[in-house]
Amino acid sequence: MSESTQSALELRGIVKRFGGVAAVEDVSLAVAPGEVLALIGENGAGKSTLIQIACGLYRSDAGEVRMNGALLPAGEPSAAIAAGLGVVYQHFMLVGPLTVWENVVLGREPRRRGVGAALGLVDRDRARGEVADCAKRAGLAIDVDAPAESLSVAAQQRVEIIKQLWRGARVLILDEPTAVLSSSEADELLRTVRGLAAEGRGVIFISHKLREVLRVADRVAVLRRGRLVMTAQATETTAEALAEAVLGAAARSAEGKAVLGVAPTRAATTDARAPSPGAAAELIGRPPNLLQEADTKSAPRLVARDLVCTDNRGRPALRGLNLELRAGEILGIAGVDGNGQTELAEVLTGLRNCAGALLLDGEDGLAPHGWARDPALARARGVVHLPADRHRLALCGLLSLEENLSLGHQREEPWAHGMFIDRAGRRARANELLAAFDVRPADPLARAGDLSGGNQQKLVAARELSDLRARLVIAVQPSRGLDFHATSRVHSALTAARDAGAAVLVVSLDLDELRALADRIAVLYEGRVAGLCAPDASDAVLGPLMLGNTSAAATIAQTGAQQGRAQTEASRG
Amino acid sequence: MSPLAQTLLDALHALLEFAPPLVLAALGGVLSEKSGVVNIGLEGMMRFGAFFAAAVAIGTGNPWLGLVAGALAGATSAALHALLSLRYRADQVVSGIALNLVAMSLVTFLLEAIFGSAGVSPPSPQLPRIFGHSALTWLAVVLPLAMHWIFTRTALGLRIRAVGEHPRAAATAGVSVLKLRALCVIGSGALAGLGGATLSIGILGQFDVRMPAGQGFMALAAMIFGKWTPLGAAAACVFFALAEVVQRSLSLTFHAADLHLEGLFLALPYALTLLLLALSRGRTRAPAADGVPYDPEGR
Repeated sequence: MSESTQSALELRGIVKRFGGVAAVEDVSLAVAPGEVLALIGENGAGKSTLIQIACGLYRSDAGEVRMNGALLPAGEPSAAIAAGLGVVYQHFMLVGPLTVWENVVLGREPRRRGVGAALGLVDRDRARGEVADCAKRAGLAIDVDAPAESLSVAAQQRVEIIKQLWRGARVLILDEPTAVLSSSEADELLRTVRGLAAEGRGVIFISHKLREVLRVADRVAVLRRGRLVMTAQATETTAEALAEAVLGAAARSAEGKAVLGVAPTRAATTDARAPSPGAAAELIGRPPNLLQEADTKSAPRLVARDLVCTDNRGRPALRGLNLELRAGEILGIAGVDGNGQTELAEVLTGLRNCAGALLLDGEDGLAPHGWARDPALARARGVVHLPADRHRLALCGLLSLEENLSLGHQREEPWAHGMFIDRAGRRARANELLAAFDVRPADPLARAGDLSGGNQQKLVAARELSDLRARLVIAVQPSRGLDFHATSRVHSALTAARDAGAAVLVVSLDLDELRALADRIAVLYEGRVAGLCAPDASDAVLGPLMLGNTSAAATIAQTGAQQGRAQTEASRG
Repeated sequence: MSPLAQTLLDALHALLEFAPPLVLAALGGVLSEKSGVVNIGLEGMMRFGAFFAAAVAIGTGNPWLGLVAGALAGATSAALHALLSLRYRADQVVSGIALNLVAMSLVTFLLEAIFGSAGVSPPSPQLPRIFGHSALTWLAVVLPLAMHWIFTRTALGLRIRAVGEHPRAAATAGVSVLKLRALCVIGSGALAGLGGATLSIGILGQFDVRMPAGQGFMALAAMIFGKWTPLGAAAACVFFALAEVVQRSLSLTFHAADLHLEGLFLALPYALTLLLLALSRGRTRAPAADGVPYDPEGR
């Protein structure tokens, strides 16, 4: 698309400061009808802020937003909506208990005619019909009468897209839409996005995943530290060039050293033999893997037998799950979201009740007063947890970084001395950890809630993976919402923990992440392990397993292993 | 008429006396909290409503003007709560408690200043009775259904539910969160004020300094017990009123006054409230954003 055509959405000279700190500095961007513009950059580069300004949620300190050439008033979301701007947020804007159609029409409800209109009566039949039609036209499958909270993440995202289409959006902004999707769901979404652009809509697609960006976008814009540092036609650039623009040339050359610097205290002793892949290597391929012969022969660290539990709504989640995990290995857990991954992580960390047997170095956690009956006991036995929802489960947003780091150790040296907090000891230890895990800002008194998502995850990793007792590490979606930089640091910390002898369980929806990290991959389907694969298993093997088709997967694995591997390599290149 | 039928009819009449103030206040609570603003100030709003309804009815001789004054007094005090908790994002519980305390002392002061009494006001004109009950009683019968219908069938109701569950989602859909919440809080105060007016000019025919004697808190409990729904809250109010009726008849039967056990009997409905709340714990779910201030530029 050329710049000369009338822009559907145009941002000119946008500046936004939060408490004196510039989040966005003089950014100008435009997207034409029928064009997909990818917007990439690290966490905190200003992408989300820019979006909030475009759609009127934030007021910019300078600059203007135009739709089809007409100026939009600042700070008025309804004006942006009326002008045809639709945003699908990273954290979905759906009201859980309301049905799909209610969510879609909210704020613009079709009214009954006549007396009904005066009373503000919603024309439910018309609303339902229009929403269903809209979904059908866009090829998005949805049950319009289901409560939004009962839907899978991918379905909720479809609702968000339908919501914008029904409102007549001519420009759609998708904020990291694939971060929460499995790879097949992401493929589906990319097709949908191309379809929407083909109908003449402008699309701004925000992502961390370079390969995906190059597949879907016509043009790519890169933000770094609030500034626009590059725009290029997708056909005329490469993943490497984009990575360099995202990280900054200087930052990138320093990257290798920085990754080496991620040294949880215990891992520090093993640093010499720890794999220390550069950020670019982690982005594109799999780090070198040290298979430890001695460990594979030793007794398993964790044995789960016939685990059965229910989810929050009382429906079966785990249905007789069996699993073994050895010290010094990373076991990846793959599967379509909602097949028991969350519940498995909660059971292992003592957050959810369960039946069956769960042995950690031979000790049954499900016995009365066993370690898996209580998170504190689990922690005392060396089970550490990087949960998927760091805001809710891992951090207290209002507490300082040093306070957050001390949580779980608050009774121990050097955090405490007797019954009192050892302020000097805590400060020293916190500074050490913040430096080792490159948390920014490295200010022990900053509030955890003020950090960007990537730095919050590094903070959690710093606390959990530096635990000297760590024997079993449970990491759920460890790189969700993180940029390359933060992802590679968290990954290195996990491999360092593995190499130091911990058993690591990584749950992820991103098969590439599992392939990069894991020594073995277990696929969960409906609360059971549908199959165990080597880390280089292709989509052709993992896909059927994720859908519960074990026999098809087995056939492919036997007859087409070579071919599958070739495919995997090809898809990486 | 057989004795049993007579007893039941008496009980029904008593219910139609005791339940309406509770029902109106509880509906006020539902309206406010559905939109995401905790309203612990129902008690104070009822008190304002009860007093100003009686005072204006006495002053003008017109109970209908008293009724309007009661609703306005409740709405005005609620507007203060809305201002503090929405505009200035004050803690909603503290703001509500403060309102209750202000109502407690201010009304006591006004009662003395205007009527020169520390106990009760002079008799006030009463609302006309329809089928033996005040007009407000019948309002309390109809209103839960009307509110249920508003919540489920109208655009306004849909928006209120959305704003109480996920204000940011509603805002991105073009709903004005703070305006809608303010409207609900003020409406909540008007309803509580009407509940108070029911006590003074509807039932007793004068203002008593003890009004509303904890009924605002009972209404709050009924709202929770009724799972934040108009019909549920109304049903819970009827249940509490029934407890009150039973308490009174037991108290009479056992000559509690002679035995100096009156206080014990009086505590029965409240103890029952505690018991029910304990039993219903875990099965009720408040609107997700209830009590959470909304910051349009929150990060």
